[in-house]
Amino acid sequence: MSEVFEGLADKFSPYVEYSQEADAINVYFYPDADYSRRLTDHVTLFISIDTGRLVGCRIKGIAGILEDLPNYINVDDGEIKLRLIFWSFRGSAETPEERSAFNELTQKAGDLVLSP
Amino acid sequence: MGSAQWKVSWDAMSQDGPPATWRVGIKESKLAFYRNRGHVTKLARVLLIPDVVASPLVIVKGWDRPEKNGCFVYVGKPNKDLRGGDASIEAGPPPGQFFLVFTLPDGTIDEWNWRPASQSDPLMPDGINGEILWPKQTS
Repeated sequence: MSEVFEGLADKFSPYVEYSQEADAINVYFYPDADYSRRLTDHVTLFISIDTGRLVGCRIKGIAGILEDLPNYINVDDGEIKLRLIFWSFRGSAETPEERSAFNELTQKAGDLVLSP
Repeated sequence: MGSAQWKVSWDAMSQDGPPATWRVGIKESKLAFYRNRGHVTKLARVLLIPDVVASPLVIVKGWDRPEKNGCFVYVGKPNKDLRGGDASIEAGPPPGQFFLVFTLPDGTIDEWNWRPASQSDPLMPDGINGEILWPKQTS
């Protein structure tokens, strides 16, 4: 199974992974060993097992969001700033926990972009 | 699609239960994506997948989205977690958690991770609500 690790980069870099087949994105800010915790029907959080910090998330049903976003914002060269996607969920947050999570995701997104 | 496009693949329990199997695997493009970004733990946990898909505790149909009804979730409880760059770092499994493997209809594995048990049903992972295909449900 060594082929899994062949060419492994020395250093972790944050990323947005888009899967058209799964209609989802995975986002990781940190490389911590994590587990997943469902936040809403669309959003699952990735939480560090050792520290409890938020290390990323999975967003399902991303195609509909990507289709709608250009109606509200300018999309440059097909790239969408990740924090805008998180912000789009902020208004529908129903609990303080959800609002807090979306705020934290938005902060951590920095300049990460989604390039579908 | 099929095993030719996968870098690694395994026999998985069929949705009809044993002894039937089908093939599941991970695309090279997905593994390369994680390698290029140095996501060690994600890659190390690939080595947890074979046992989970071969002998799952539960197979669930669907990803809780109508358009993903042809997808499957394999649920297992490995007795360890793997984290190191060559899977050399072992840790105990997160207490009370299941390891989930999400497959597309053609057997391509899209996602894998740990998930806590449901508070209402400790025998199932939280947020996994599809039709249970395995073990066979008696009416």
